[in-house]
Amino acid sequence: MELNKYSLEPDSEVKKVTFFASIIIIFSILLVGLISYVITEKEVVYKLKNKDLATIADAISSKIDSRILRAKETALVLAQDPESMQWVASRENDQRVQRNVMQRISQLTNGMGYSNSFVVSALTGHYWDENGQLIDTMSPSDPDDQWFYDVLAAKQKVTMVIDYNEERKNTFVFVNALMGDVNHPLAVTGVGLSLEDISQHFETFKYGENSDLWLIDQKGNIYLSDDLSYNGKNVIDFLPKEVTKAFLAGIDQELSSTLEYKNNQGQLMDLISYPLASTDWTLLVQIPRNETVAFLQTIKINTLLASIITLISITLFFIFVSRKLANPYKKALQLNQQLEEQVANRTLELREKNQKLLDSIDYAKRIQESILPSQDKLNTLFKDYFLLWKPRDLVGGDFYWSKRFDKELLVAVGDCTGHGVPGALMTMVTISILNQIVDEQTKNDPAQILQKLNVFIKETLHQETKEALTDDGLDIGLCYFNGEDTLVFAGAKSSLYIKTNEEIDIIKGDKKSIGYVRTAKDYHYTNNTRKIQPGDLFYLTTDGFLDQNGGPKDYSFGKKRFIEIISGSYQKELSDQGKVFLRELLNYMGDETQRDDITVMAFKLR
Amino acid sequence: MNKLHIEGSKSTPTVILDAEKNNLFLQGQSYPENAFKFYEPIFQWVDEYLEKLTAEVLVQIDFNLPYINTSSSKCIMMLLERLDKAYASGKKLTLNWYYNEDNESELECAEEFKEDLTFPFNITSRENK
Repeated sequence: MELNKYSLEPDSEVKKVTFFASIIIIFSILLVGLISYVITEKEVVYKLKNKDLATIADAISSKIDSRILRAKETALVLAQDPESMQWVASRENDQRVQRNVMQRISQLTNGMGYSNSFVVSALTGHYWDENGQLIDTMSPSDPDDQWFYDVLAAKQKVTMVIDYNEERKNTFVFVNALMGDVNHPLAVTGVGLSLEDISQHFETFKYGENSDLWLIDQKGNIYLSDDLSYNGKNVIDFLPKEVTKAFLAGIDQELSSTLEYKNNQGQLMDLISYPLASTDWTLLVQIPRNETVAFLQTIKINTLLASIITLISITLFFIFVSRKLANPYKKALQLNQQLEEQVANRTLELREKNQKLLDSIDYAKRIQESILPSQDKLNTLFKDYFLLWKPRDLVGGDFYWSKRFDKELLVAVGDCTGHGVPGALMTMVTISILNQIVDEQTKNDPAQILQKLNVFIKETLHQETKEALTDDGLDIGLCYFNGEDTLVFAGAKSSLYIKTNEEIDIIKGDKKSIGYVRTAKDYHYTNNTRKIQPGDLFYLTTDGFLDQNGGPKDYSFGKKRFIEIISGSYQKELSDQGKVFLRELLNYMGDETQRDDITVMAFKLR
Repeated sequence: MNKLHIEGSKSTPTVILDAEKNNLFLQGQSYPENAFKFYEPIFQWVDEYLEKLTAEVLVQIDFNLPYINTSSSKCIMMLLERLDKAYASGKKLTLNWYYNEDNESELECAEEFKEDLTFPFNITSRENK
């Protein structure tokens, strides 16, 4: 009984399906997430490089440009002032005019946010600052004054010098204008402006916390930085050498260029340059990639979240599906299991009932055997004998019987209708009637015994009329030995085989069975009398042996074979002959089952 | 009248009772556990058939029963007695009992049946059929 053959617990198939569906859907989500991440990142970086930075650079450059433009205009105004020109031309002799000129310069500085302003005379070399002080006199031999002579030699109306002032940690733009004829200038006048405030503006353009925004020249010198401490340094201080080299080589004054590298912390950095229109400067932005794409973290988290939600949903869905849809299958299994249990219980019940029945029949067998003559009794009756008593079932309708009166002896072998329990019941009835007849009425007339048996059976079983409920009876062969040299045999559909010295004598009984409705109540059986010799062998058999099917054609065993066994083995001890009979029978039967009860009894008298 | 056809088994004969052809056919070994139960429908059919049978019709009966156990032989006898009775009342019928020569008890058995009957009862060896 294998009740656990169909496991009802976790449905492994549904589990598998759930698992694979989850894998596929999560894979899809992750793939979509990854693709959108990559696309977005690419787009964001592209936007940063090509649009945001351009916007920043535009804004910065326009601020710087406008400042410088204004400074140029201021410088020009200063240069073209007639009073100033007159004052310079007079070699700064007119004190009254000087006051006016100085006032104007001072106004320019203070009023318009310039850090300084000045007039340097080409005639005297005097350097006048915004405070009206003569602070220096130009000398061609002083390298610090070299710029003055450069400006004069340039013969350009307006020139611009960018200078980083180490002491002030600031970058200054000096705009110089030539006073008077450019070929013979009277003086160099100009304004200086600090870009410190622009540097402060850089803060607002910053893209991320760790990004850098620098204004550099073509050599990589940092003029302006969002971090003032960077001012005056070179990018090579902050970037790997090779990167700097490659980057500076790639800087183009007209186009923006980009470069990405990994810094020594392994961070992916983007370097983007954007040239400024009004100067030779380039706006350089360094920004870690992860800051650029920082907001993409939300895509990552959302994708992860979607995966988890999907996983849970699918699991719930499949649990639902397996409960609802897969249920018929599960139910079938359950039903099957129930049925199997029922069958098992039924089988057990049947086995128990069968066992009871068998126990009961087994007991009946003991009763039947106790009624049949015992081996000991047969040993005392006969000099030698063998007995094959083989009911088809546990008990049967075949019987053997014997009765001894001093010298006289009665021996019978009978076959009651049916086999099994009904047959056994019949044997009980028959034997008790036989005993009754021979004890009380007649013992030396077998024919009469059979006739009386016929009558008694009919009466006992109420089979006197053709309308009787049952029609049971028996075949029997009955021998009477008078104790000297005479045998009387009467048979009801039964024969006696006698092996004498000379021959095998077969005495056929009458053709009518005993007790059956078809056998008349007054039917007379026939006595057959024979003289016997000591050593004669007598064989009685029921039709079970003769009618047993087998052999190549599945015919009955038959009398012929029976007689052949006798003639083939009569010289053996009877017990050995019995073995031959049994062996021959079994050989003939082969694989066939026993068809009827079988009894063969052979004996030699004392 | 419906044909009665019972397929044979190891312990029961094939039975074909055909009212149209007026042929009663039994073939095979007969030793069922309960012979009366097996032969009961056959008796019923035969009773009904014989009742309707007219005098001018000849009924052909073919038996070939290699083994008949005691209770079956009683049933066969009951069947034969019904036929005998019908014959006595003027119906025409003839029975062919086929036997196998190799099977010694068959002929004996047929002869025993024949003894008690009056209608034409031919015992024929199967080899001569």
